[in-house]
Amino acid sequence: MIAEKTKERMNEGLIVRNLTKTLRGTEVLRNLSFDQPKGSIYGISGDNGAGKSTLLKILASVLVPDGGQISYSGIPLSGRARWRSLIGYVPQEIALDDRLRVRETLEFWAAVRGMPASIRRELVKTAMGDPLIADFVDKALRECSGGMARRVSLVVGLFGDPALLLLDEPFSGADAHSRSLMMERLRHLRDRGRTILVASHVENTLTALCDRVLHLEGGHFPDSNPGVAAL
Amino acid sequence: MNGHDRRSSAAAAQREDVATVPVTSRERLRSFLVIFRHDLRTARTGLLAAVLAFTALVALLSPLLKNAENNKPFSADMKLSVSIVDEEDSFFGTLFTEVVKDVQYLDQVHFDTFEKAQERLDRDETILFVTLPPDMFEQTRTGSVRESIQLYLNPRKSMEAASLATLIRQYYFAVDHLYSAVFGYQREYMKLGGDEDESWQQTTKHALNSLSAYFTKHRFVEKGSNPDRTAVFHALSGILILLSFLPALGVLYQTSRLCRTDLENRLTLIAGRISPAVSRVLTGLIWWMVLVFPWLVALRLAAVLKTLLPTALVLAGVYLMAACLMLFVGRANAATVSVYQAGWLIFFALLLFGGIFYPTSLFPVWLRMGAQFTPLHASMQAVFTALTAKGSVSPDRVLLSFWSVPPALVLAFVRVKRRRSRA
Repeated sequence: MIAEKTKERMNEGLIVRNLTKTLRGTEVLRNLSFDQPKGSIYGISGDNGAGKSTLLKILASVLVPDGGQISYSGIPLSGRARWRSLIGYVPQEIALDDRLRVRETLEFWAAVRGMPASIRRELVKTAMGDPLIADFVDKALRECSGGMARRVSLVVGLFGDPALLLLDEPFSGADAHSRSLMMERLRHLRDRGRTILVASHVENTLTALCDRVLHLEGGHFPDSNPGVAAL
Repeated sequence: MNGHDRRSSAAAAQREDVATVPVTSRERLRSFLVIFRHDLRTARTGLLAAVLAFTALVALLSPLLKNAENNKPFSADMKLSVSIVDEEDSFFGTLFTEVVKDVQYLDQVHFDTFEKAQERLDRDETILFVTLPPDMFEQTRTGSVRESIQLYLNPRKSMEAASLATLIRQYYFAVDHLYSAVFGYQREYMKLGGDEDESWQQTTKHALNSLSAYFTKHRFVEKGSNPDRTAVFHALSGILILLSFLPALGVLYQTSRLCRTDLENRLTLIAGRISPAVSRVLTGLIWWMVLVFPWLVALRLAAVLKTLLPTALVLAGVYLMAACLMLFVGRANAATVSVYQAGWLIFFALLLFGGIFYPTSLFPVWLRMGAQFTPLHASMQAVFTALTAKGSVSPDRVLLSFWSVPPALVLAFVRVKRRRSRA
């Protein structure tokens, strides 16, 4: 019975229940609840200030929630070390040191995970062959276009093959070609069973990519939102 | 599935048992070393420039300091020669020459003509000469106090000459006032037709007025040592403390620049909060070595310091305290500009109350009492003592200079470890 329950919980995807967050006296997230199954891409849309980035920062364990429960595969957010080994976070900004070349950036972000050298080398080698960045691995990051830098940022976020990928405005500043390459990669990851949550204010892109788009408005999903209605 | 995806899946399968964030101590150490190497790499150009500049500085300064030390300009038992010019061969001049011959720190006193005294000064035989005018105390008899002696200083020994000239001026005023007090009694006695009591009262009043001129001079003569020597060592101590503090401002800059950015979020999620902070402090420590060590070596070569360890320890304590404090300030929940302003304000306040700009003995008593409990005060005293005592500082003084490190460390640790509740 216990074994069955454990197995059941391990099959659970991302579960968010009654999530609340107040910043500087303003309730940014209000009793937010949704479920996302494993092997799916969900989008969070909404205007600026709707709470998309705050939601992703909480899921990435950057910010502490005021209330609510979050778990993935039965692992709660409060178990920070285990949680962080599950997630890949691609923040809104490029968030990479632009003094480095793309190759050096990959080496740094692989090495900072503390893996043994042999595994690290393998990881970097694999990443450098990634079609997203293979054409410009020797280019300095500051010489890369916005789209190229976004692609590098995504590849860095994919290091460690995370089970839950959190992307905050991943297509911002990316041209059509970059966008198409990134979307193709994300679909592939979904097909391999990865769970992906994308926040963006561009609804068209989300509709084209995601299995479901949740519209965030004033820190909660309106009642008409299908994501909430299902709960 | 294309070739890349196959490789990617294979790589993922191969390391299924490997966590994607550092968990074991070994993994954390590896992660820390990567961040530290990266921080060093970004600072390497500045470090290299500083090493070159300071090496050149030491190469230039060492011979100068060595010569200066050989000439013993700061020696406590320095011997000095002066000339006295009294062309009228006055009664006072003869008495004065006899008196100054017994002054310990004067090696030789010449009784010269103006030309001869000038010649000696040019040949560096004397550090100054003083001319006594024939009407030296004339003004005193009329009741006005005016400096009528003339001092000619040796420009090649300006520090010693200025020091001695100050003393001579003080002695001159002292004599002038005493003389006027005694003369005043006689004058009053005659004026009052021999009324002794009234004459004493008037003269006492006059003597007290004269004495009051010295009430504000106690700080200058408080220690009785050569003030210039003290000033030079004070300035050197200040420079060493300042250079020890400077790398902490680099820690402030790096901390504030990264604080609450997505780059920091990304790094923190993988490597945790402590590793980047420790790496920043260690990078600052390397800056500290580059900025401070050449000076210590130069002072060692010049034989001002015979041992480096106590001074180096005290200065390292200054850096550690300052770096921890700046880690704390750098993570404040405020705009970057405000954080920098706060950091600089703390920097200047600590330097001021630590007695780096001015000796705290110049402060009012209440401020002096408060300044003693500021973090840099004990360090400044320890470094100053080290410089005046060839580098030897008692262990309790070194320990005392470290008192502010543990509280600063706790402040920094709590602030760095605290999870964010605000965006």
